[in-house]
Amino acid sequence: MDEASAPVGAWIDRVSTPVIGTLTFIASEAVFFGCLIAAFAIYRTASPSGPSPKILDVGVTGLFSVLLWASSGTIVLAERRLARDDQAGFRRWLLLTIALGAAFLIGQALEYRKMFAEGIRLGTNLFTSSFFTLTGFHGFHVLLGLVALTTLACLAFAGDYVGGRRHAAVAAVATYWHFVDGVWVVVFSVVYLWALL
Amino acid sequence: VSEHHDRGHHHLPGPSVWPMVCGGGIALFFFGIVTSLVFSLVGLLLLAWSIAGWVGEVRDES
Repeated sequence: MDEASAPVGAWIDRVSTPVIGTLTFIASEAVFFGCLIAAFAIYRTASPSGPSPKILDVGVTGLFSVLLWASSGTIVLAERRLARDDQAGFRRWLLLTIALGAAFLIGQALEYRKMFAEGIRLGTNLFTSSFFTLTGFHGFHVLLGLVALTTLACLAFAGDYVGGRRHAAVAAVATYWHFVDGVWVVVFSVVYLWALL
Repeated sequence: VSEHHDRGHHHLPGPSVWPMVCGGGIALFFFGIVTSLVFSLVGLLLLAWSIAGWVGEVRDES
């Protein structure tokens, strides 16, 4: 039987159980994000007065976004080092991934602080409600990802991944992290880039 | 074939209370945001406790 006509089960059997669990979780999260993105698209300009998408600083958020997207690259490099059983290299790229994710969250916190200082709150109007809900929900996912990555880093320093052990856990967290980075491409486009048009 | 299962034989983790404690911690954290930060603090402590317990359990299993 050639690859194209192989049953779905053959593909599933090549994926580890933790990664299958993560993909299932991601499927439900994708629907959740889809609903929030649709709500934002409808409400972004629905309020006749108050703040609108034009208040957003696309340049600064774009810079912090590049850091988040770069972290997808660094976690791939971490996985490659792990596949070669280069523990020091794995830990180094993993820590850099955590640093890049944390930098993105700091950027989001600074953006929120600036908006709060201007008196903009969750309940100010429909734009701010949908903006804070969507970007805050994503930020919470980044935070959870950082907790998972930090847990991996602690275990890496404890020597848990030496000799090919427990690599599936790393693959599962990396898969989740790619999703968090990937969904930000859509959120950034809809929330920030759309504001430039 | 992955390190975790052969064809048709999937390894599943044993029953555990930690996922429920973890979920409770996250829920309490958010409840605290709209009520009192004391709840958020307790939620974070529960979350940290559950992660430590959960990871420890998985390490003991393998």
